[in-house]
Amino acid sequence: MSNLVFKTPASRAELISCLAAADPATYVLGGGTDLIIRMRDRGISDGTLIDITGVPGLDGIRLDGEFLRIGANVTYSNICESALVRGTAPCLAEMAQQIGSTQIRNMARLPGNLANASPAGDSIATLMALDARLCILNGRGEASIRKVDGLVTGIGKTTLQRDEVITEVLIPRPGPHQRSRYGKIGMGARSQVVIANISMTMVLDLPPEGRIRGARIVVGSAAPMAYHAAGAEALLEGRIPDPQLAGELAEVMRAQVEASIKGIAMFQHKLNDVQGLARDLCAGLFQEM
Amino acid sequence: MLLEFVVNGVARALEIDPETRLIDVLRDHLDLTGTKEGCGEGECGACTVIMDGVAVNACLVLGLQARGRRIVTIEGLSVDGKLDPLQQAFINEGAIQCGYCSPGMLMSAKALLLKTPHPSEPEIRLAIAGNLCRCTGYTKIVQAVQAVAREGGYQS
Repeated sequence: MSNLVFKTPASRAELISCLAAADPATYVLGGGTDLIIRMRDRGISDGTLIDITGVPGLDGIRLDGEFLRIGANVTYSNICESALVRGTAPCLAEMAQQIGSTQIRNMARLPGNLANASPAGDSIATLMALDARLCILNGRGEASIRKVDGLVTGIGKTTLQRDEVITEVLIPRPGPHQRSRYGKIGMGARSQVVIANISMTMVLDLPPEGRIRGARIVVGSAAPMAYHAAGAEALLEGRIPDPQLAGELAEVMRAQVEASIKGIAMFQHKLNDVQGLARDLCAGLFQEM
Repeated sequence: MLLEFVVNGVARALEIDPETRLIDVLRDHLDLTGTKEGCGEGECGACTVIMDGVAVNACLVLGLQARGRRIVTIEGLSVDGKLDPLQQAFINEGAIQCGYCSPGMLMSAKALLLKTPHPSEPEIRLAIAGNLCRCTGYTKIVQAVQAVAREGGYQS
């Protein structure tokens, strides 16, 4: 007989009272594509599930003066089909298109990927590159905003507290000259080791004077946590995009990944992978320029 | 907990434990054993069913997540004993070998055609990318979906 309690808050107020009662065995349920596997792997048969999909106001994608706002109940399928996302944050649509399989994309959502903090969590790196923030609600009814950068503190670890839930993902409204691309080398719908052998997201500004500004490059699945390729970001600053720069970037990316895989033999292939990704992303981005 | 939902057009109400997955509800509670379990972790797609018009892995959905929703399983494809055109095309094209992936494959293809009646080959391949056929019969499967799309007579 089950000792699991399944809560279905139907309003923000009900969600807050569910969060207020949260204990270490409380799990927030969105799409469930990660949680259900975890429940079975760990034999979780008691505790509380809070299914947030019935909470109104969390299923929209909209653009205001400050942010592209993506509600917690928006699925990856919704994201890749959204003209607003494609127009505002192309790399996010590209990432969503390549995550899991159609069946997974129809259920899974961004907040779960963030909260589970898997080293292979495809969306974490892309949201870091977009300088995304999260709207977080707690059990006292307080809403706060936290950067995705810094949210993940280790494998499966985040700064999220027991009584907190991500209600919205906020992506700063891009300036007129922002461009972005995402690429990954990897396959398989969901197995942790292969979900992305490596991913790279590049966001940059190219003002009319023709020099790259404020590049943000984040690598996923090449270390326990996604990280900024700081050397590569510095390389691009003030440079004019051309094929030679793409080659230089590929070399710097290789060196960054070489440092992050710490000599582990089975990850050596990621060095070539990231060089290829760097060239692909540059080819796409520089062509547009 | 009480689960009320619609399966293959029939309203159902049953008591289930919260950890019971949709696939277990279908197979064990409703005796709809056409939906298969392969990997149990969303990799193989053998358990694919259609929920509110889109393909999902029944092994990655809790029964209670289906509350108030409309589910179509492989048993719901044929009408009055007449096979769905997609099922007939799978037979005509020889798109079935051992058959274990077929129910999931058919449901993914059905979900695609519901949304996109005339899909391109890349669209077909993308739609079934989450369905593994270990007999590797993909070519015939794609041909079968194309045959239905070409006829354009696809009626859901």
